[in-house]
Amino acid sequence: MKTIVVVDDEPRILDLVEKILSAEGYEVVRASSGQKCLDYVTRNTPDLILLDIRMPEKDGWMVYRELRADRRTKEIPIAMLTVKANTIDRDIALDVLQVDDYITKPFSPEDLASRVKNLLGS
Amino acid sequence: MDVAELRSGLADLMADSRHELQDRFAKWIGKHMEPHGVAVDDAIGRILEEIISTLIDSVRDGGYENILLRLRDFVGKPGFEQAEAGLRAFRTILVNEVNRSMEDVETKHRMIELIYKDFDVILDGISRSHERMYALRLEKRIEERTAELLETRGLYKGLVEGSPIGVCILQDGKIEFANDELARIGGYAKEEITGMNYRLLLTPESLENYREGIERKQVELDGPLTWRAKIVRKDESLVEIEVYSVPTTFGGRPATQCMVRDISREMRIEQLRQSFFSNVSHELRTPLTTVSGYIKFLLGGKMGELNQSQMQALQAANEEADKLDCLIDTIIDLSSLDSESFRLHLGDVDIARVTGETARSKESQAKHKELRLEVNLPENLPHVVGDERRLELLMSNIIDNAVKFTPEGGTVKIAGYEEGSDVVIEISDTGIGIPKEEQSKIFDRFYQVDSSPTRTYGGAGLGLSICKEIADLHGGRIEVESDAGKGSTFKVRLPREGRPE
Repeated sequence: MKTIVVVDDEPRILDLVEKILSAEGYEVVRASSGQKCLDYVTRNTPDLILLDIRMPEKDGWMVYRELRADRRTKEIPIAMLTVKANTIDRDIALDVLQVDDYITKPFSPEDLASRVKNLLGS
Repeated sequence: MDVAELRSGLADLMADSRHELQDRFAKWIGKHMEPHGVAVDDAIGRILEEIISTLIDSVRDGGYENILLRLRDFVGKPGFEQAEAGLRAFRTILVNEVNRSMEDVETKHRMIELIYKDFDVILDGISRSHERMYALRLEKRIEERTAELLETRGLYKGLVEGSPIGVCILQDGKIEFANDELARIGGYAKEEITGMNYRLLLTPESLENYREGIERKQVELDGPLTWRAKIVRKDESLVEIEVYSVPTTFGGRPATQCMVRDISREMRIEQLRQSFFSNVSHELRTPLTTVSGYIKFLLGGKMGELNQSQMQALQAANEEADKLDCLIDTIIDLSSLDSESFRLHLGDVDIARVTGETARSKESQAKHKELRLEVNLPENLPHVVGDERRLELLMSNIIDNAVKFTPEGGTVKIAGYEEGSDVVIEISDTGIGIPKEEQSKIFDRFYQVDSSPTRTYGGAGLGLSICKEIADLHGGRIEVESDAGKGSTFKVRLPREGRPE
């Protein structure tokens, strides 16, 4: 079973994403902060990380940089799961920072599931 | 005969022939002085009488103070410039009289000698009066002009010094002049900032920008230029400034005159505004994500089968949640259009392709209402210079409106063509139309033709105002033709070459 880490400071978003992805048959690991995600990946290697950007303390970009800088985690696909802001953010995320995907909230469960499926390459 | 006897004799002679002397002098005045504005009238007659009496007294006692004092009264009056000529004439008249009436040749010669001597003294006195008079006049004029200049200078100095806008003159890399406000903006004392190299004030980035662009542009333009820069104050804090610069001359050499405004506060407000909108967007969308996510999840049957009425209820909730999401988009977009920092991301835009793709994305909506969507966009339609995403939003809003306001079974036509120097995209529908009196208002913000609480059509009334702003920013415009009940035609005109901002 593929494991997906969902990082978000909003518990209800975590609930929603967990329900959607569990229904698709994935193992969902909840991380309510960037630090918890980083702690988790020191011991485990998930198949995908869904990362919120706007979070207190460590924001999504800081977490992203740390994950990419670490030899053990740099190969894990990462998709940003963030409230839609301006299009420039999206362009920078995809073109410059080369995140694997950029999913905006609100999202439809079907869209989320299909993108996750693509990212996992199955 | 001693001098006193000689004087007395001459005075007696003058007294005896005073009327004759006066008449001849008056004649001379009439002939020579009338063109200078002196009329021979009773007043002049009285003055002549008086002058002759005074002259007789002067000749008698050899004192000239009286006659000079008397003459001084005339200083500055009309004809005074001619007084010297008048006295010379009177001297001639007097010499002639002595010549005529004196028999003793020696006495005659001594008398004439005396006349010349006396008159030299008087004429000398008069010419000194003249000089003094001219000096006085000159002094007075200088005083007046100086007062005028000081007043003007005071006025301009007050205007410049008291101005809430920084004013300075730049020349050869130096601030040659600065007012109080400029010194305040820079955080220096006026004495410190005057004479300073202005390049030291700019941040390295602004300096580069100034050297690379502004300086050259100013020379090319030879006219006013508005630009922004950041300066480092004396206390090393940063200030954002807006500069209005004009070429000028200072001390006879080319210089630049600048009006400088501290815009830090405006920039802070603008940043606050932007972060406010970004926060609002985040705070609204986070809960909406949960609301809309669960609705869609339930609708997908992932949490159990739903009966017909549960399904309908959730579908209604789902549609409204989607509208809410669109509305947030719109508000954010509008705020970014208002933003001072808003810039179009210009590029070559294949407007036919963009409109075509937008139209295709509305097909399911149209199908839902059984509308016919007829698209006729020639592939060779000229491209425009513009911001693709903004133009897409413009087309999307207008097509959305057409679909929204056209009843079931109607038709929405989308066409593209060239007209003059414009590329026109025409969107027409067979919808409810817009009454004539409403047509000028539809581009106002928050305007809805039907604003009654029971209105049939949703939306925030922001769409067309955004469209208008986007068209304006591209140097284009939107025209509307409509008859209530018969449908509407919107023409989006965009300049083929593009002349945004």
